[in-house]
Amino acid sequence: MIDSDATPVEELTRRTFFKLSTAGIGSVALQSLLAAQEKSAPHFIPKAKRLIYLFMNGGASQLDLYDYKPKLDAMFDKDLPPSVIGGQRLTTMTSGQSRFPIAPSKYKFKQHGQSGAWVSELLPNVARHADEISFIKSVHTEAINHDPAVTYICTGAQIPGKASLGSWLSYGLGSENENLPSFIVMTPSWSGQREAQALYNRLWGSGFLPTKHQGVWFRLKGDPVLYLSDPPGVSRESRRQMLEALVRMNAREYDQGGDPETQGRIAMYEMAFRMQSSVPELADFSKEPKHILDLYGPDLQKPGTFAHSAILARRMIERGVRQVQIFHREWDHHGELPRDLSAQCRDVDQPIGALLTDLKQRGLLDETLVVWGSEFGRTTYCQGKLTRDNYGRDHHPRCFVHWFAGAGIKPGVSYGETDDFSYNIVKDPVHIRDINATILHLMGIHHKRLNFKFQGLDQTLTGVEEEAKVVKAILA
Amino acid sequence: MASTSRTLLAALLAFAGAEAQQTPKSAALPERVQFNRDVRPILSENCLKCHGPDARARKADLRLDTKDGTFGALEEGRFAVVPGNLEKSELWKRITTTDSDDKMPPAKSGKKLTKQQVEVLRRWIEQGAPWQGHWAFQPLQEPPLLKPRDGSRVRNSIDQYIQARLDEENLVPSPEADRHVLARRLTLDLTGLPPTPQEVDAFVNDRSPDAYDKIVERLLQSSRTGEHLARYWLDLARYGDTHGLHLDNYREMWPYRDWVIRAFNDNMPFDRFVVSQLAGDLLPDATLDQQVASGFNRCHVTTNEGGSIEEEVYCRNVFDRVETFGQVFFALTFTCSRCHDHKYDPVTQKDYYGLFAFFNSLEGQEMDGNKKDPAPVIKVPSPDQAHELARLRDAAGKVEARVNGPVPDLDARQADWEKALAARLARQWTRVDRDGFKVSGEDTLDYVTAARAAQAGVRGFLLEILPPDPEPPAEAPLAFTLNELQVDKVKVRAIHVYAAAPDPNVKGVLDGKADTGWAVDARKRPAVVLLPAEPVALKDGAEVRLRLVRKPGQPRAVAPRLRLSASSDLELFKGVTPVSLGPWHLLGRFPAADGNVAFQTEYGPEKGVDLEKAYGELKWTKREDYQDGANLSYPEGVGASFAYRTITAPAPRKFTFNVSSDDAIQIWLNGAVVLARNVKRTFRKYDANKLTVDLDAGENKLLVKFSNYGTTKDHKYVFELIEDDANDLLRDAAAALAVYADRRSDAQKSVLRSRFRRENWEEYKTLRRELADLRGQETALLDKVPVTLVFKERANPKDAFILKRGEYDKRGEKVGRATPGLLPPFAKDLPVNRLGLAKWLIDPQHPLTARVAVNRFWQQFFGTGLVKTSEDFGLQGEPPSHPELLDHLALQFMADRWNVKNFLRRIVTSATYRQSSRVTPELVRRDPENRLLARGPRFRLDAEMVRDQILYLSGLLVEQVGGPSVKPPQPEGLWEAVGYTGSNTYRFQRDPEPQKVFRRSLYIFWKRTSAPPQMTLFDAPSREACTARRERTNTPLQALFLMNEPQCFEAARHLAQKAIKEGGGTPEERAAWMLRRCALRNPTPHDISDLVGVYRSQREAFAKDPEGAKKAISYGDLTPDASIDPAELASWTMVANLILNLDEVVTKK
Repeated sequence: MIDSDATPVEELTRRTFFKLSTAGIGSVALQSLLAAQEKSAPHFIPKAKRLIYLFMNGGASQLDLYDYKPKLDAMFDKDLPPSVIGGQRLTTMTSGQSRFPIAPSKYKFKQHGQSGAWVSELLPNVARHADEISFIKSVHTEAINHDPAVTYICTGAQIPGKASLGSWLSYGLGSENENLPSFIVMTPSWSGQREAQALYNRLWGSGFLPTKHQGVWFRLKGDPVLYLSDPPGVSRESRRQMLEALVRMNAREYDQGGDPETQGRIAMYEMAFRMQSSVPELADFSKEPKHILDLYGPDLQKPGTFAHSAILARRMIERGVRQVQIFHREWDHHGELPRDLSAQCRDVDQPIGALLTDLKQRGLLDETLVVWGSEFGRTTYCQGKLTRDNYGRDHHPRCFVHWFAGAGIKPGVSYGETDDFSYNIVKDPVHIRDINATILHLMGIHHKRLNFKFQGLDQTLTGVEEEAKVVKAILA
Repeated sequence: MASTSRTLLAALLAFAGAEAQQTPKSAALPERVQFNRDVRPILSENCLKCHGPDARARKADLRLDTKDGTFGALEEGRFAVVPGNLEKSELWKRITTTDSDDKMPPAKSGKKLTKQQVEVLRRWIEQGAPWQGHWAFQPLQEPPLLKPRDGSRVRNSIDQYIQARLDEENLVPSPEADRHVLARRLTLDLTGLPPTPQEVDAFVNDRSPDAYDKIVERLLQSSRTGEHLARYWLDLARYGDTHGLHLDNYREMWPYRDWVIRAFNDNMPFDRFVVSQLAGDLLPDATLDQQVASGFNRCHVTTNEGGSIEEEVYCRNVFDRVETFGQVFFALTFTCSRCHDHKYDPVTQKDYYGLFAFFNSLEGQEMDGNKKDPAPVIKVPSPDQAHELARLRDAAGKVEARVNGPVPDLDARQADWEKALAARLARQWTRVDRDGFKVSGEDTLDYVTAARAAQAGVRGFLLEILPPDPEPPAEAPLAFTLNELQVDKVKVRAIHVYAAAPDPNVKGVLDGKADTGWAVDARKRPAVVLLPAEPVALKDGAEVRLRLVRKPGQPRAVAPRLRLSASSDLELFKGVTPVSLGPWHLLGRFPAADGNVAFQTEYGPEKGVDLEKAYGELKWTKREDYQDGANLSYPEGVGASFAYRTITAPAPRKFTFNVSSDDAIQIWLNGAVVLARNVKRTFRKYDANKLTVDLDAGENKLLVKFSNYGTTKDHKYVFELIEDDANDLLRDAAAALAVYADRRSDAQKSVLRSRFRRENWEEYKTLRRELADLRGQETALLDKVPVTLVFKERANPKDAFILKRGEYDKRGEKVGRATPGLLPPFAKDLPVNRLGLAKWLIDPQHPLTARVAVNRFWQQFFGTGLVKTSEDFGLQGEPPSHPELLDHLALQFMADRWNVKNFLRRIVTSATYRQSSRVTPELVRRDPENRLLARGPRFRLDAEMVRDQILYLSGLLVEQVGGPSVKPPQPEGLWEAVGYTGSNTYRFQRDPEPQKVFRRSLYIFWKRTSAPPQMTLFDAPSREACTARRERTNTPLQALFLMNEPQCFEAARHLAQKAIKEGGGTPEERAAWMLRRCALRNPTPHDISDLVGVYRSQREAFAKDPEGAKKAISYGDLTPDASIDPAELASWTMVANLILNLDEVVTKK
């Protein structure tokens, strides 16, 4: 892990702060430390220390990316047999369609690596890592619309109010560093059409968990963390002087009032001051070697792109951030899918390939779990006008693809199978709860044992009553 | 890697965010076990999941949540609990056995009893296993007043209970807090803002015995109190300014927020407060306020996401109403019983849907349409607006009376006209078919006849559908669906029902689609008028063929008889003669500062259009390519643009059209305003203004003015002609004339009168114009009148069903409205609706309502309720720390007619509240959460108070009660990062005015998918769901906010300016002044030396960096005081910034 180059001022401050802020630490703090250890996860030795979650918001098409269905070619524009649709509920966007014509993917698929994983031509760089990836092709959910579906996968419930995955990790595992938040979220720009589905702060919110566990949204333009910069004209030295006096006065307040929370506040100001230098240092990748910069592609130099967030993700992981989640928007391709999907893939493909390479060559992939996924998949039948080269697809909750790579993963696996239409799962279904249980498992957490009493119930990420299973087949 | 000190730091942080802890631990086992306090929590946590209320999940037929279940016989004659007999108690055996198969709770449950818990259960059984019902469900009974050992510290009954408990624990109450501290605590608690130093001094120096009571009275009268109390309620009500889901568009709801503020300020009794919100709309003669209050049940999040299934959305919305109801009034979590009987609390799934049935009959769509005002809503005019509206309506009424009222000589002429018209109508139709039609076929009926005589220029046909002659017996079916009607060789352009109510289905018989049609019953002799596209010439003897296509498979209806007549009289059809629409001409843009200025300004065309005239550089351009119904563009940019066209009508007639546009719109017809709407909105094709206007014969001039607020690409409009309905002459006038004059309805009279006056009265036109103008003004004003969502009951309540597993499409048994069985019965004389429900709730016999309410008030003052889990009074919640006190307070509250302010007074005048909050090491150890209240409350201020205080101390706070929400600055991009691009809350635009951005925080615009960061950083909820209690955490992000946020920093500067001007001449005096103002205490020499030290070092640094100083003092909205040296001001700004960050300033102590 990198120790940032602290300036003399910061060194001085650090010492001053400690001298003052530890003045009053007594048995109370030690007790609470012990209590915290008693309570917190991990429940067993974790395979992964950190997590990078690449989320394609809107519902990436499994049919055009990973779930290769060669038989569909011959069925172009034929009606999807009703027996395949079964009694499924459809969104009201296509439930009124008079027919459901099959839209085969226009993209070429090839097998890659030793594992022979099928990946579409849209993702050549991801394909190069096929042997490090474990694909789950049988993920399913119940929600058919964006808001409930994405809330479901990110927080374990379709309605707002629950805690997000990253918050659970922060709550369960605590922070690995005190210079940076333990759960960071980025929302890069995109190249598909302008209209994109919404995100919600609740997707990284802490719900019923204490607010300090909520994800910190890391902005790619402006102050990376809200209110990080000192006001214009205020120097670091100036801030330090102000803080030193603040700490002295707060320490006296502690002597007067005896409230341990005052000590907490002193420490909080110290951390804030350190974040003011550690965060800009983190965000500044200009000193990375050229070959690394090249790896992430030309978009890297544009602030706010996926490539930009990908390299930052690596730098965060390196500095001990527990979870980084990148939400890339506009994967909701009801019409003109080829135009938008190819643009979206161009955004993410090279940076994802680069991220995997970069993590690997630094030895970080051994302790970092990388997950790629979406809130649901897309239909095999066309929404709107269908030609060989142009089509749209509606939401499809019955089967879609997630992939895992890195720490604790058995690489080169393809788990779960769908029918010839990529419409129904025929083997090894994996519910989104299982995806979450598996992520927690890799982080050393038993999904039922990491819980929090709220509204009289032991809340967990996988629900109060529902069953969830760890997908053992993809574990190393 | 981590040094020891870092580990300690981590520990500190962990402590700072202290997580859920149990009630004060009395390390010792209770001598006498109390079932509710000691035993029930153990059973609930560890056993009830399998041995509780949920029958389906129940194992071994044992339930431990009821007395019968606990002591009744099990199979094989065993007993779970035999009082006084451990050996015979199966429960004891099972929890102590070493056999892992028999051990309870089972290992896989993840539950394990501690030694202490096992010991409690042992003592309980040994002591005879006394049973109590769950405390929260027991009727309220006045508990014995407890007596503390030392009565001298008692100020009111609260203290008796608190101090008696402290005696038990061998703790002593803390002394009364210092007067400075007390004045600050009290003022913060009752108003959300701190006192001024003068107010504190006045109290400190007031030695009269009622000095304290006097401040309490003063504060309780402050309008700040309502604002402060309201925000707690708004967390429960999940109030927000957006829909909360998907697009998360703006929703206009703030009149509800203002109602809550008013209710607290007016000290509305809590029972009335409850009834108004649950059933304001159902109260007899509900006032506007009561209807506004009913918005409580509309505050939940809603969606309009494309693809949503309406039934699912409906269920979701009702779930939220039910569960919020349960949370707010019962402090019970009903969510479990949505899918099955509750696992812990005696709430069945049927109970849940019994409540569901109270809340499921909203008169309106459950999808929100992405509109700010999804129905039902009401307009909430300000007094000024109400006055102006009344004036306009009165004036319009007078004009209308003139338009429609009697005008003797005119009315006499009308009578003649009517006679003539009736005669003419009777004469106009000439029979076409010679001797009736010959008919053949079954489902497809072909009718053939020969024309009776030649007739030229036929403009309309009257087709009558008659029973066969002779009429068949009554049971013979004569009703059928007419799917298609084809007329040989004639192209029919329109069809209208004749002399009867219009029916849109009639169009289906012309559309060429076999699955649309019009229900016909030949016995009722329906008739239609068919309008040919071109006048038709009929030859004598020509073959006339008609074809009727009937829906196959109906009961074999007898083929009806047809009669066909024709008319060439233009007079008869002039009301429906096609108009011709001229091409659009566009003019613009006239730039303006914003849309409102554009709307208000006259640019010329408003007075009359001259297509040749040039307006500076601007000229009219003709757009032949503009199609009706398509998205059309008008000139881009902020300002005004015009669109103009002519509409030529062969005769006076009505004309109906839609115009949708981006932002404000005004429409003139022949120089008179027919529409004026000053709205700021996103262009939506179907968000249209439907208008019906009167066209004059000949050329009519239509002018549209668009006033655009935004610079975005939305500068579009759509013009759509709505198809003519049968005109009044054809349908309404004919029908009216068919009735004897003295038996005509008002509507029929009006049809004839307006028809006549339009054509025969000069003044009519002027009056219509006046009326249109008044109506236009009224519409424009109504657009400015706020609306708010309300609840309104459907005339016919919807049925409710148990939904299996809570799934919207898995209906089970139908259920009626009913309250949960565990609670007192629903009185027979109560109406079975929300009003009855609300009244049942406030019945003094109800064990929960008052308990829950007083507990939440208590929580506001002490940080934690007497029941810590203020959201859960169920078996899984925590039992009260002082059960007797809770009941005592609840009963007092009700006896005092639910008087809220009296109740708050009771709390703040207690000795318990007035204690010093100093924390001793012993108290940290024994009662870290201060549940026993051996000291006064001390905790960080809530989000709103943190920000409000900063603004107040600096003198920036703008105090104004109520009104639309405001948008103080926030960092760029927060909304865009998450928002749906098509949402009207995608781009955040701060308010520019200081009068808005410096308002109190409860007025901040609350976008629920991206709640204001100033609030959420300090644990405010997102308002997506009901929140009964906020967490309280400390994070470095809060420190960054308080140090660097522009408003915080600007406030520091403002405070510095004041200190320099008012605080004295020396640095020491100014530092003291500032600290006294903010911390409200006398500074110590250490404080002064620290503050002045900071001032001096900053002064030195800024002297060397004058640019930096200027930048620092220019940060924010307002210009710095130019009379103060920038370096001086910047230095004091840093000192003020320090003070506003002090622990003692952000803490209530």
